[in-house]
Amino acid sequence: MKTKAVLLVTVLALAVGGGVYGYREYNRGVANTADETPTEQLTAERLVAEFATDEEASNAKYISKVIQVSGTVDRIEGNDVILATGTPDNTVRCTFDAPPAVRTGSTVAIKGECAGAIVMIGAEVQMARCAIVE
Amino acid sequence: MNTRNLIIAAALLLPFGLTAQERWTARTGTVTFSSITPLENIEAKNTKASSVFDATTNDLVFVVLIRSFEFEKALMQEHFNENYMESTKFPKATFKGKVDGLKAGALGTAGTYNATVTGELTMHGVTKTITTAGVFTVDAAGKVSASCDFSIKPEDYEIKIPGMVKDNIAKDINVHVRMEYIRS
Repeated sequence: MKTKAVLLVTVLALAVGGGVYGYREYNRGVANTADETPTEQLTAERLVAEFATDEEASNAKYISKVIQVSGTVDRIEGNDVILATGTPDNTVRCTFDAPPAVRTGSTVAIKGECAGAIVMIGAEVQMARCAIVE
Repeated sequence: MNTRNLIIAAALLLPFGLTAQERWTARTGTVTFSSITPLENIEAKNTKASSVFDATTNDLVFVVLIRSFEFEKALMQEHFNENYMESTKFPKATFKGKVDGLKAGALGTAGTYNATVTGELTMHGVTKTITTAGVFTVDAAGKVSASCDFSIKPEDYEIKIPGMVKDNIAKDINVHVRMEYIRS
């Protein structure tokens, strides 16, 4: 009788625990990369140059990876910080979940998940889930 | 003297050469899609679509990076990238086509212009022809925007949906595209 009760309680606890875990996992929001370790650290200029020279190799090297990119803030558009590279149409567009506290013209380091590049109107590398590196 | 005349002639013709090609570009176009089923609604948004529209040839191109789609739930975003779209293997979706029914010079005058857009949509390594109605709008300040809606079937693009979640994902995914163009 006692064993049965213990078993029942255990099964119930597991079911509730599993349910809570499943529910929380299902509703988990998209987190930024603040707590992630970058696989590469490089300048915006170098990153864009790599994509402009060999897009396929850069796709394999960077897409889905968390990388740290440094550069000068060219402009801020909504939740996006656009890093300059020295070539007007070549930029790195970093998307945050809210507009970050950075100023145009300042030098910053940004961590984010690389989404790849659109090479059409110049070359624009896009980064998602960005966080400012203090 | 001959060279000088040629240079003067070229300089005089240059402005005409520039106006002959009417090129419009956008870098922060929005592409949203939604999957509506009785079980759950899934929506995602990408605000970083690039587009080039050449109003002289009516060629229209737009490109989005798959990994730049934002979901409300992390799990959906992860499954979308890793299981369905395989975004490291197929990083972008591209549309290349023509706009039909837009009169030459229309984008210089305020108004709403209906057009037909036909072209090839490539994603997940598969190319399909799509045709949809599009609307170009020129506001009083001369700002040009364009939008269109169409729907796609995941199976047409060889996107495999596991049996366990097949009722959670719609057979037809509604896609909405909106671009704000600047003349370049």
